Amino acid sequence: MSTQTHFDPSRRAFLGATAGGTALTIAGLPSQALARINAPHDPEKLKETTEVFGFCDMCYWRCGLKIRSRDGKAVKIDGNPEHPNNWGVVCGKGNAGLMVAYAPNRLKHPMKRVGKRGEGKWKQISWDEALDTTAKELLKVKKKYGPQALALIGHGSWEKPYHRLAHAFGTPNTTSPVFGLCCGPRGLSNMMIMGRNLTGNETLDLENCKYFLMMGRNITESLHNGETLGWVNGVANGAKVVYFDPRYSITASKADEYYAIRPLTDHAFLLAMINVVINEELYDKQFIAEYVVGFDELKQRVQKYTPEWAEPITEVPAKDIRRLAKEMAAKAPSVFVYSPRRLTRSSNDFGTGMSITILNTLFGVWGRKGGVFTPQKYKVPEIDLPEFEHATALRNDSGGDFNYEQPEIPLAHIQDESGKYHRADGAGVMGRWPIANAQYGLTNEMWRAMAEQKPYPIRALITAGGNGFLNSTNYDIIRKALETVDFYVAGDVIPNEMNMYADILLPEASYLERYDDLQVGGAREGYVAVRMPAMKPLHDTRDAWTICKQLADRMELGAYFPHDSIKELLDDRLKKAGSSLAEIEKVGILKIPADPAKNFPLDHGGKLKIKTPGGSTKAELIPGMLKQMGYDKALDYVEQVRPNEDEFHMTFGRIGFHTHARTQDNVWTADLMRENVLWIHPEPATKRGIKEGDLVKVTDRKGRDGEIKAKVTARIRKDTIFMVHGFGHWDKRMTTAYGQGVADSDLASYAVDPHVGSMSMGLSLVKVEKV
Amino acid sequence: MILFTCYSKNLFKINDLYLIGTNSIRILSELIKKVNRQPQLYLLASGLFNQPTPARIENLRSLLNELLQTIPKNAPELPILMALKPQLNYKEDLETEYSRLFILAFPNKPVQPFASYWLESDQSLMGNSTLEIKKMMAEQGIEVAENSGLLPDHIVSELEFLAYLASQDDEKARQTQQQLLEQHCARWMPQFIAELKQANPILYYQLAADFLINLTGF
Repeated sequence: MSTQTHFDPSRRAFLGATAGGTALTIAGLPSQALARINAPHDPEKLKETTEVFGFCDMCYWRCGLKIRSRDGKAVKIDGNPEHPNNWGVVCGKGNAGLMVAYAPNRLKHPMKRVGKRGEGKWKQISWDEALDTTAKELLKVKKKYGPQALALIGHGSWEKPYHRLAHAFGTPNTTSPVFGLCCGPRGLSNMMIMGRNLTGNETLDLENCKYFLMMGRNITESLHNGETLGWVNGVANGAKVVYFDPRYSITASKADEYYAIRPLTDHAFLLAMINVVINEELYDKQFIAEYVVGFDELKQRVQKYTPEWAEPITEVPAKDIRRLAKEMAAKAPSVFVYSPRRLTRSSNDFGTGMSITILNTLFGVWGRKGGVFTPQKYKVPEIDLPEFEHATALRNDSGGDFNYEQPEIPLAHIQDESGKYHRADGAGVMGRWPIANAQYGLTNEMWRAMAEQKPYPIRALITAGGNGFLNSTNYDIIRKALETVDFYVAGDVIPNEMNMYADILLPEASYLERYDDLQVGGAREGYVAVRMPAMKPLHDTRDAWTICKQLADRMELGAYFPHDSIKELLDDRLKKAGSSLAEIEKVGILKIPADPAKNFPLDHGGKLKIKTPGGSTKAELIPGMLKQMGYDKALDYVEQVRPNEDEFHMTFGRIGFHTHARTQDNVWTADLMRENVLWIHPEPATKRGIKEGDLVKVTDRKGRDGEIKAKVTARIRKDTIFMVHGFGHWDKRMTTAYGQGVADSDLASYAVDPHVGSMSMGLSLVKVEKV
Repeated sequence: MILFTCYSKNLFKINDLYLIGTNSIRILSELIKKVNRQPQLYLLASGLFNQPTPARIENLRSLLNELLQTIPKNAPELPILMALKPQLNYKEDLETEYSRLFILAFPNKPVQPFASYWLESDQSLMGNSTLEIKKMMAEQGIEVAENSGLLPDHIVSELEFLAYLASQDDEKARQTQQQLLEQHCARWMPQFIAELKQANPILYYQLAADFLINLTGF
């Protein structure tokens, strides 16, 4: 991005007393005394701004925002200082949110496909035609195949009404990549053992933590304001940071100790830690006695996992494992084993996740200062709706965001005695992926179900945001799915490789131009926050709720969208919570104050309330439900793939100013990083004649390949390469992102975790050669 | 405040505005009678770059016919107008081509019809250039209709604004027109036209580009 207008001090004439006799005084000083800021004030630039509140859509942490507008145009995004997700801070991505609204490449009008599917020939149509066609085609599929033949894949803070529409339509097949492609094994581990989700906006008392054991949680680059701030404050307050990652990330550079652990072997290290903590009696004995079952059995099972066993697997010295365990125990319970955000890597992510939960539980961190706090909830009831007649029972009508409650019994979907359809992706279905979350589903398996038309036909697809290609890995399956369905309608703000296949494109208003349903979150404070429009939609776009309501009305499902406008819906919900839309619009967020007695019950003579999915009121170190299914074998270490001498582990991750595959076409974030590069160690690079900046070809064992520039750096293991996620777009409509770098998603593995059904993306092994 | 509704109410419903009593827009038939053809020519140009719906193409054809009846035989734009005449028949291909050129081009990138895209350093829409045009319109009592799906600096809005300005007798409007053309349109429309020609458009849009060049002298 070049700047056309350069800052030119000579243009800043001094405003003297002669300028209308109105010399400025600043902080009591005449302006001449502060010559440097004594610029001529352009009255245009000082025009008043209006201010509205919102929450961010640039990543999935959802920071609270204040957005200022002038002349009907949003001009500045700031943080809402009252919002516990960010306390007033906005990151680079958040600031670049303005460019989502002002991007020239946005989807601006409803479009109809006129060429072959995926060919890219479109015709602008009216909203009426777009919605009429969509309703007609969906009803056609429903009549011919039944309501279950519709799949919904959503990704974003505004996907909720689409989930409601799909549930009202009667399909159980609604999914969001958050489980199968990202955090599933992590959330599930905490759920199974502790009955807690601990995903999304993690409830960690970072400020008071004294010891962070970070398993690739690259918190300074895969950053979320509130979380990163809390961690920085914790470090400032004297916490020790021990960081594990095959790559020396920025977080590694801030750590007290760094281990370049062998890729995919975190589980072995964690098992050895558990072994030491148990055998050397470093655990919280009181906590174990009062709140935990399964300790003795766990003790037996981990005996073989000694630090000496783990050393050759992980390349972490046994003596260090012993020392780290002791150090942590000395600081417990103000300690935390920090899971990677995305835990879809090895062939046993579930075991890795459970080991993390077990360690944290052994250290008694739950409900303790410096550990995991118990969140408070601002109770905002959902609106009264008719029962979802055909969709699976006990479904929570919310999707696509982290901050809602888990279904009371997440496994209720296993047996369905009322004849309702099981999910096509097998999530929550006995004999398939029974422990996968049936609310978010397995997006990877949903694509497969569509492509293979098994276990039953899926003939229509709605996507609400997201990019099936770049957020998943198996392009052939996704392409086949998109080509196979009878009808595909996509709602989004930006064009991308997936919605290129749509029959109807519904352009969404950006998050700066619309209301959305409420953000109901649980932090130390309980809170509910509002998203208000900072300006009118620039183009012929609509918000998700309005789109879904208008579709529902056309399919005789209007009862599920009983309000005339999204504003009425918000007001209705808020009134049930004792407030109103008018009230929340003044402040942006309503809160229940933090309460140490509730947040940290064990520090205040209180008790911890536990309820696991298996019905236990104590933490289950070896969950009984898993034992019944034989899934407790996930606790045991599974040998991971190793590269041949000429191969590398293929790794990928985030950077501070890009989110997933959604920001590469944003000119402001692209200005910070336009393309990704391949991190490779100098030794293997020299062996291959690769120098910094050389174009190299990366090829995996399946023959998939891509060409990318090399970054030769000692900041990575010799057997590992790395690239930042989300690049390598091939949709030419994304004029900034097109052809920049390589799509890691086309090189990552598409194996699945054998217990959860989530993806094991880190199993890919690649060769690198100079082009 | 006059609503600038030419887009949403179809190009030639200016009569409606006159009838609903908003102040100074003249009705089209009055304009036609004048020696100055500029307003109609700008309206034609604006219409040519607007979404080519059946109704709009029909209106464009009527306008063109009226122009052809009154235009002197030696008028420089006559050959282009004559060439345009057989093109003003609605076909779905026209709308597909419009979408390809200006909205969701694939495999080529779209020819962005917004001044701001060409004038702002970060190619953002709704930039300062957009606000300047918005202000210029406001000073003339004009604003873009809310449901038009257009921004003030969309080529359709700007050409329509020029048509309005050209229809005004007063000196201020004349000055605004000159300023708009010389200090704003001249800075982006030539790039827009060049990229449009590069996109290998069908004859309709080749002629639209030629017509715009002829009209503005860019």
